[in-house]
Amino acid sequence: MNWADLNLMPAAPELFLFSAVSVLLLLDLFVSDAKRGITYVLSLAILAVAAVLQLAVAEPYAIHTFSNTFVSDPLSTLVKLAMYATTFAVLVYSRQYCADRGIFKGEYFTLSLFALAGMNIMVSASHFLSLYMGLELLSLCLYALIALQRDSVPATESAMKYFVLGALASGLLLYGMSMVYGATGSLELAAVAKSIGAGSANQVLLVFGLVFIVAGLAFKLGAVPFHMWVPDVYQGSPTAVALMIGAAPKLAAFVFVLRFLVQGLGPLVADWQGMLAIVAVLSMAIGNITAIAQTNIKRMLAYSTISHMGFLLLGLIAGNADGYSAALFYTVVYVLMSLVGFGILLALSRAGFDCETLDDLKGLNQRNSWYALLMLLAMFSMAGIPPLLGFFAKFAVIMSVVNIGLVWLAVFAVVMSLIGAFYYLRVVKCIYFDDAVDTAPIVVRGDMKLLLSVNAVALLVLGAVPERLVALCVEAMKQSLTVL
Amino acid sequence: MHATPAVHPPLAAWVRFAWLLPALLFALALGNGRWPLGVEFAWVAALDVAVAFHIDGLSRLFVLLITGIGALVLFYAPAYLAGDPRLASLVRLLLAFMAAMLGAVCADDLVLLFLFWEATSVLSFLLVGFDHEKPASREAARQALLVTGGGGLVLLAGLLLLLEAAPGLRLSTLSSLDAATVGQPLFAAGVALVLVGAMSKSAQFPFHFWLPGAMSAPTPVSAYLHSATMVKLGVYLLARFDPALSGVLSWWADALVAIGTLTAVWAAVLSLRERDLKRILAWSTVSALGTLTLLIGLPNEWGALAFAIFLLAHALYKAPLFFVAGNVDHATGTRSIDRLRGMRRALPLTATAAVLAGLSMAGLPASLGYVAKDVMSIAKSLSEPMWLVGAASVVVSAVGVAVAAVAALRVFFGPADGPPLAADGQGVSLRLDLPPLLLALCGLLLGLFPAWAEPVLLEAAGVVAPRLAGALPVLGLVDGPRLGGVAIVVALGAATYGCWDRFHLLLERLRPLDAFGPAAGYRLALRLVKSGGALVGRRMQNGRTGFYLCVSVLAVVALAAPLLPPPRWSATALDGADLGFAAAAALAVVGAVSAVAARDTLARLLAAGLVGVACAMVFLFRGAPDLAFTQLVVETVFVVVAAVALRRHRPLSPPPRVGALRAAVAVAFGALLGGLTLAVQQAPPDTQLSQFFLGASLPQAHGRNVVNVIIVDFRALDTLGEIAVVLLAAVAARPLVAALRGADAATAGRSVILAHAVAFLYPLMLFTAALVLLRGHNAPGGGFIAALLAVSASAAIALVFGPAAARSRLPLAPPALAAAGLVLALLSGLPALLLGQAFLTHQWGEITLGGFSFAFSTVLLFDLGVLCCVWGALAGFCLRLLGEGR
Repeated sequence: MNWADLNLMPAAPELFLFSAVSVLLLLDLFVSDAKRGITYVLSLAILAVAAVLQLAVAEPYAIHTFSNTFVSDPLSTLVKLAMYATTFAVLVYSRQYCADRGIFKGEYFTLSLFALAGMNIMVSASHFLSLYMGLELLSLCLYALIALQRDSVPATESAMKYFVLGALASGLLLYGMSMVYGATGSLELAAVAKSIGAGSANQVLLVFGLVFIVAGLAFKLGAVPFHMWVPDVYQGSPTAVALMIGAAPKLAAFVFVLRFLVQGLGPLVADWQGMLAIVAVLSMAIGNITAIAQTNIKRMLAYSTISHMGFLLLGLIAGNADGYSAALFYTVVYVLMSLVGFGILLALSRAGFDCETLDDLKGLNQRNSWYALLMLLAMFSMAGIPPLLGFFAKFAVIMSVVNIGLVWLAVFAVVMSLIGAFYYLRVVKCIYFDDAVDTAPIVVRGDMKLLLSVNAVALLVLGAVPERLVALCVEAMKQSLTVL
Repeated sequence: MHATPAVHPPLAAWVRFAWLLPALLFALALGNGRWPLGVEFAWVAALDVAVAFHIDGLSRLFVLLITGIGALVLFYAPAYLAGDPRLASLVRLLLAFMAAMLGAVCADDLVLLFLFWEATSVLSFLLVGFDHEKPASREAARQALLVTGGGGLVLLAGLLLLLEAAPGLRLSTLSSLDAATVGQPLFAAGVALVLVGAMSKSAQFPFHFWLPGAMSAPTPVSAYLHSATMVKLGVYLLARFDPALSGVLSWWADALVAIGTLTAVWAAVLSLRERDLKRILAWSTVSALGTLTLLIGLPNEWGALAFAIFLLAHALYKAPLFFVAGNVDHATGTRSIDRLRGMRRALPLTATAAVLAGLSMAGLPASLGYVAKDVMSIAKSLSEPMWLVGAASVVVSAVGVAVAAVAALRVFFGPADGPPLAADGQGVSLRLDLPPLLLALCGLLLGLFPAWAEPVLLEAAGVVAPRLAGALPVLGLVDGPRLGGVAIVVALGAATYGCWDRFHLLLERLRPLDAFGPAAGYRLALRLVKSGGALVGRRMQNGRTGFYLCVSVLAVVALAAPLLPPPRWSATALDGADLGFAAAAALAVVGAVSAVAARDTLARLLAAGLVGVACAMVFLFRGAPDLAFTQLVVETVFVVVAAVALRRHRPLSPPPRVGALRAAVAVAFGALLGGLTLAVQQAPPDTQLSQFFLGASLPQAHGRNVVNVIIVDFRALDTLGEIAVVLLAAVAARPLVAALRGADAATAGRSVILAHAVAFLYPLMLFTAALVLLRGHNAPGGGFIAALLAVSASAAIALVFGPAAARSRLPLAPPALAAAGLVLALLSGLPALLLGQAFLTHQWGEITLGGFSFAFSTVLLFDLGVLCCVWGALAGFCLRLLGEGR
């Protein structure tokens, strides 16, 4: 091991994040519950500093370090910045909610930030082991976060379910990785791709490794038929944690899948395209159709997530840089939308009351027309109704499968988005056309109100001028995927 | 939070004068003579979407309709909803809708067209659902959006296919496509989807049902969206595509004629069934839309001209009739033609407008409706003989006359029976009467002087039929032979009007047939999707983790099984080792099956232990004695400690029986992994790594036990990390184990013989451990195995004499012992650092003492560290589990 060659700069944001969170963990021990706001502010500050560091060390090309296990490229920079912003928003949105439920504790912040560190590693990994390490760091933090309300039966049940099923998925992933290692003799993504490309690897082993890896990845994305945990976990966990699970980790999971399948197993594209197509079709169908029958809005959003993952996969199925950037764009947009959707649920919740069912949203327009409008933007955007941002996301991924001649898949996706529109509209209908059941005043902290508004209006504004965001994704993808 | 204001806010001035904006645009569009007009700038270049507009004659005609009627609607709305607090939001929505409509008819880029198209659908959802306190309104709004918005998505799919087949396609370049491009199957598929999208928007059969439902919208909305503009967007698109397709795609024109005719007749017949004035008008609008589709499908230029004229004529008579219906509703609170009679006295100006519009609708001479019918009949007569279409058009025209009569005569001039309805209603101001009058008068004036409208209409028709350009005569006023035709149709219409109520009763009796209609199909589809979703949700998402696991595992099997290569069997003679394998395999199977089948937890544990023992046997026969040894010790320690712990704690509830599903999943997954193992073994293993370690072990690391050499030397840093993890895990587990403990801490039933044996065994086992540690570098053994032996020794003492006794025999407290081990391992790496080598590069030295030479190395220190760390951590864990510290 040669320490002199070790370039720490590319990983500076992660190193800062780890050290800062460790310090925060210790500091928090000396902060009383009444002054927990200090931890909150420090967490936000850590995120801001990490983002600045990220920008400072960013280069327009890929730099490998830690013996080629870690890579910093434009893709990881873009996604990490998005994840800092997302986590920032999640912490702001969930502050009051957590305070009302006794989970406004140091653990909440340190676990969230450690999860973020795990995601950063997933996003920046260029080696099977670092990928896996990042994933486990993320997953373990999430398991604990879900169970943070230790007295809540649904929360602990969800945590247990997520843990058991997640362990299975991790096992599958590891098993697949070991097979690929056996076939190629390497765990480093670029070397794996090179070895497969050379054609000398044992095909049987490779293809089976691929199956297990795809199964593990599909679980992490929450795609059918490995989606069963998603609705139960979304519904069972505190809304703030459901938001945490539904937001930044999707970005990380997307890049994770991209690194595995494109950068590592890229030469097997013909094999994984078919598997992903099955997963995508099932996800879009089951996600959308089942969502219609839901009355619990968290559960509905869970199914909607499943269907969104199906759409996202369309971009990957395309198997070219355009498709990947479309999928990246889709993921970013999805995260923006789900932040608003869950943010509104958090805003409408209060001490002793969780806004969870469609009934709780009824007549929101009469209670507060501004939040009603924000939710309308989120729902219309998720439904892919132009000119909101969600439309362009759907358009981009559908276009990418049309471009490779998979017309049937494109038409299927269009039909599924029609079915999807149905339940998003039902939410809008409840908000605008029904009479309020819950008439308590809506009290929201000023900072959250501001951020949530900016977040939702961005769906509209970016929908009008999506060019910049699309171009960012395309550029990041082009500069990062040299091995194609 | 906004409180509902108690008093209506004063009406903002802009709401009253909003109509001036479209009026200005109307004037601009009418005045400007330079067509076509194109604007373009880049928007989302990455997705090839540009903001490109192209305004030609066809677009101009639509722009005139949208702005002209839009201005009147905005003029009308403030009076219609006077005093309603939602008026401002209605006007806002109408303006937004107008913008979307203008965008849709001017867009050149295909995706841009779709964007505006969907925007009109969404805005119409909000407009139709405006009276959202009524459940019928909400349902109608949703239905309208699902049908037209869904149609829009189908349109998008079609447009994408077209873009794929003809990259860079624009609406303005459609007509210059070559036949080869249009002939592609992909292009044809795209066109078919576009057709479906257009049909849903223009309420063509079988998507027609949403339009009458949408009549729950306020009247200004209906007049604007559902007669003059939005519903015409579909036929607009069909007209745009027609010049590029007719004659190239064989089915295109026939499909349009068939769909148009069917829609026209179907809707005409259904209009007879209604009693609500607005719904009658809605059905007749559907019928007119069918006629427009039919006209686009006609193969000659006259068809195009007829299309343009009828489009204008229909807007000029149907919009006023909607206004009329609105006025009547406004004044009386009802739209039922059963109750509305003799309204002319209460609403004289409205009655005038109704009559004027009715004349045009009936196609009587000196109206634009007549001119339209005239050109239409020329177009039809020039086409190939289509008697069915001809017969259909007679029915449609006759019903049109009857509807005109109902709206203009029956409502206003019939005998007024019952109390006057207008008494309790609001009055009708001039602002409500002016728009219908103006439009109806226009319809009449243009009928008298068609030349006024000729430039605009010819330009529009010229887009649909490029050969038309100026070749047609001035639109005639009265054509001799045609008058006879008009007379027949009017007579038939009068008869229909006379028998209106009888037809109504007859059709009412056929209502059960609705169960087979498209509307029922829509409801059925909706219900199916809903209940399907509920079913999937209930069955699949039952909340049981075990079931989820089964599904996930089955999915893996389903994905992987088809990829398994067929196994190749070869006959080989079995040797002794193979027999050993077979025995081990049998043992593993027995262990696994009994672990599942046993009811008692302890029995399960023991059975599971058998699997471990079988593994150890496999290692043994494979020539890896130290692995076998490790496995055996681990398995034993685990089973013993777990068994004791289980005995002391609350009994576990018996595990559930294994159902057929789980058994099947287990067998399938096992078979998959078995097959996989077989398949993999057929390939020669990559021996690169094992060759390296076998070759380098002795010369570089001075050890013959390759496994141990790898652990302590080649990958010493990893091992260091691992023992650190072991230590951390043990520390973390301490409080957890403490929480798990039961009440009973005494060691029950101690046997004297056992006590003596264990007391004697303890030093022996520790001695063996030391021996195993020392010899580990060259023979089976090593720090880890030694540690496992030491742990078993401690566990044995704890089991017999209690945890405290075991604790007192350890050299240090367990955590301290583990920590000391870690420190030792770390220290062993330091000499290398001091010598300028990489951390944990082991140093070797030799001392000759009394004729014997002793080799010594930092490896031993490292291995000792491993021993202490693992011993301390695991012993500490076992002791806590067995009740230490209580």
